Amino acid sequence: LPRFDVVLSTDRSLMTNHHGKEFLGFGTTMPLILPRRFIQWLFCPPIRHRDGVVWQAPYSLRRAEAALVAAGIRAAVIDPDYVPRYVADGARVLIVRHHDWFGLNPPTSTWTAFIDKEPLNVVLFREFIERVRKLKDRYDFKLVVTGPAVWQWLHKPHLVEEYGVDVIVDSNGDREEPVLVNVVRRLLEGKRVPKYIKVGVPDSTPMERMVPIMHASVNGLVEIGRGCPRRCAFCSVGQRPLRWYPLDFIEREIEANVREGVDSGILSCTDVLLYGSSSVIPNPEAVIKVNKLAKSMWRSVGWSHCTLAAALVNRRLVEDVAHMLIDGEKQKLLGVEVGVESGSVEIMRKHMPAKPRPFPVEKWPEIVEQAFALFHENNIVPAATIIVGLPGEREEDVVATTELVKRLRPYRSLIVPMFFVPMGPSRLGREEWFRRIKPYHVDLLMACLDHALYWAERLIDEYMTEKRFAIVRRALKWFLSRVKEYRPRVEEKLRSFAES
Amino acid sequence: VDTLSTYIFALEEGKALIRVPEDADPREVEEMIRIATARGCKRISLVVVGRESRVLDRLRPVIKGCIVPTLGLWIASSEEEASALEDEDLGELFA
Repeated sequence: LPRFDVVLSTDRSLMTNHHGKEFLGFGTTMPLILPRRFIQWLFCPPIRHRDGVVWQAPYSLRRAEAALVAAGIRAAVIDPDYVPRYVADGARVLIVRHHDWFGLNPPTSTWTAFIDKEPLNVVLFREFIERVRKLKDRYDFKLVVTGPAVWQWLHKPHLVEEYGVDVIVDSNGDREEPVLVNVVRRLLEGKRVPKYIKVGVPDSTPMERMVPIMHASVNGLVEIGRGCPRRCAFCSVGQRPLRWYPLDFIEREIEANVREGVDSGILSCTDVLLYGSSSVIPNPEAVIKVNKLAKSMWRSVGWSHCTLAAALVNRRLVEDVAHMLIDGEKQKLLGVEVGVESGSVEIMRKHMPAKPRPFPVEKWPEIVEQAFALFHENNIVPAATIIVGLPGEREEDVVATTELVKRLRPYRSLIVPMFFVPMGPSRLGREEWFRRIKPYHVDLLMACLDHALYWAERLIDEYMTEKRFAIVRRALKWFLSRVKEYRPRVEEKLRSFAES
Repeated sequence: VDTLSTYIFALEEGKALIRVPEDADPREVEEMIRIATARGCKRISLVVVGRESRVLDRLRPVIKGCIVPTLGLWIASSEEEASALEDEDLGELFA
């Protein structure tokens, strides 16, 4: 085995490429209502590796790995099944990164609110960290946990001791590579470091200190910027300064993927349509350039997120970019996550008044409908989120959201409801968790499920066109048929849950 | 502020060192951080003597709510260890 002083890893729910289909990753948040082996194979099969050194790894682990190597530290991302071997072989620091350690984040926490079974990602993390715990008894190494959701450890403080966590690096939703490098250096030198490090906004990593990834990321995901100008109260990303990565940085990261055989990828940031802009008005030239660059190097290009308002500000830009990316042969559609969050103008005004900008907040429901129509016409498929139970939510707010979801039925999309979680670094981080499901919430949840059932089968066919996906496609359709069959029971259970 | 002078050991060049007992009221700790931040401290070392899980549990609202200053929470098992930690420079982690 090659020798590394620092090993970076995570559990199988993240150390996978989900069969090359990023969207299947959401399946790992699902409670184990079907046999585990089937669910695990379908949503998070093992990733190819050589001596445990993985072919594709989560982007954030790749960035940390690159920063450590650039600092002269021998480090690599290792498959979770091989961590014991590398620790036994002398690794002195193990860095574990996750975005939902204990299933407290949405959508995991949404499912577990009413399904009394453990989610797959929670089970996989527990099994992984328990193996690490046993290793700590035998070998002398330090355990560092990091990532945007480490605040979850504060809700399980006894597990910090039980699992032997030495350092918690809380990046407040940002990238923390320079801090991580210094933490590792001190640990390797045998120096003390704080138990919990919370990286404040003034210490956000400046662009010039960012190091591009050296090896392939899961499904070719590369980040093109950090921060968000809209600063919604429930979200952590907007707390950070807006930084767009230059094209040559992005090109190097795409190259790292292409070089290792990842021929499609995802441009990741809070709003791809705002790339290169310092406001909420798109910079068309920059958006075209970054997409053109990606398409020139990859067969197909996906977007992690964009905003509905930015799409409507410049419809022509959306049409042009869609036309450029969706060539009909290598790429038939463009998937992207969008935030609808609510159909209530009052909720929008209270918690995310800048989300509809530059349009007035009163127009939000119309913006959502018009943007969905624009996307539908241009083969862009939004996977939209709805937040249920935001602080101050009233029955009429939920009813307005349910009506909006029903009006979105004609547009090819998925709409995922998420129960409000007071995530650490957000401005709502100290609010109460959403726990009280009322009958009108059930109406909204069922509207979202019906929307998904209406579109899912067609989307499976369009999302997985290649022959190599035949078995996965059939498995997903079987899974979908089970959900359809159980729909009446799901509603019945939700209604009895709401009444109780 | 009177209470603060008991606990804020050093406050210089944008850094503060706050040392509190394990049973410190989280609201008071938060107030100390707020004042130190208002005085221009970008980085705060918080030293606590106590059991890890208990300290993390008690200070959860303080840590979760902390967005502007960078916070380093040191947990010591004894007063002697805590005193030794006072020489540690949080700034080195951000060099």
